[in-house]
Amino acid sequence: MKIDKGLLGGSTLLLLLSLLAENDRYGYEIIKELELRSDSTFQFKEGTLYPVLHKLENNGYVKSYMAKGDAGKERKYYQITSKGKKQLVEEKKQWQIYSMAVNKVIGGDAHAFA
Amino acid sequence: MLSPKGDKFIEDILSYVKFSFDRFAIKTELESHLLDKIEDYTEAGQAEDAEESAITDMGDAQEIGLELNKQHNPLVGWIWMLTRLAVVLLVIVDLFFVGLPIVTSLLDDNPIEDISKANIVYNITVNKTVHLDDTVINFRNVIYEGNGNLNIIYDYYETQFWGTGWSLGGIGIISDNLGNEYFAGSGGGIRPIVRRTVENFSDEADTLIIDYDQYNRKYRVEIPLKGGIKNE
Repeated sequence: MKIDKGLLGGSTLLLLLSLLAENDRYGYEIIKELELRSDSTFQFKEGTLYPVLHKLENNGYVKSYMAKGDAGKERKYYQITSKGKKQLVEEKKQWQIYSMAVNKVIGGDAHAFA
Repeated sequence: MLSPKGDKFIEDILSYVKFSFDRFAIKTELESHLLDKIEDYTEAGQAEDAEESAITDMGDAQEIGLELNKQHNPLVGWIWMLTRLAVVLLVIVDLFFVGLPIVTSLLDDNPIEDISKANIVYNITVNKTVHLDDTVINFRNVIYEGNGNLNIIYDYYETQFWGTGWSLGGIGIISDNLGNEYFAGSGGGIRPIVRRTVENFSDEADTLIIDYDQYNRKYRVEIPLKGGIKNE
């Protein structure tokens, strides 16, 4: 999918579902968290996050609700569903296999996943 | 809120979303994103071009709009809306045609009105109350009909909300002072006022006796007959 490339590459689903598995979050919160944890490695056009979130919702991986956060502002929060949690397990597995394979090819056996 | 520039950026995105019913929710979500980002830039000391930067960070309005439109498909959206409408209509219809009659039958239906007035020989107002555990049974009327039917009208309620649901049980053995025992037909279901009809009740008896003795619970009610006011 084109938007995946635009956003974070093929690992979008894994990253978003991981963040939502920890906490319900709203869009901007997700972006800040991604930037923070990746030491700004992941920088992308922020607006493209929303079509992805809406797609996750359409697929039933997340659901959304309106709520007031700490600052009293009403925001749209996303919450992972049980279907989303299952998908997350699957994505994690695929990611490990993928990164292991890449590491083997580039000769970085020592850095491969344990 | 946003300046005209920020508003225009969001309107540009929305112009690609064909399903208009979703536009407002998208607008709210994007707006709050921009406002958050502007706040962060302002706090970081970049108040001057905060909105400009926030918009730039969002990316291309057309790209975002086209991708959003894919997720807000008008066909799916309309099917969803129509399905919900159909569900709402079904609920309304159901309430009206099923729920309402049940409620009215519960509240308004006094079984005395089922008895034709022309047939009534006498109608005694009783007002005797007995207790069975948490159930209170209040005998209201005894109505004797020309065809020998004796109707016992009573209501009952539970004093405890979690009452034991006595309603399944009978009111006891029905007899008269002459020693005749009668079989009383079943009551009126879940209605709070119940009518039990005894057929061929002796017109010579002067006392109706209701005797309850089940599961170690007992009561006995004696109701004098023929003392009632004749129905004209």
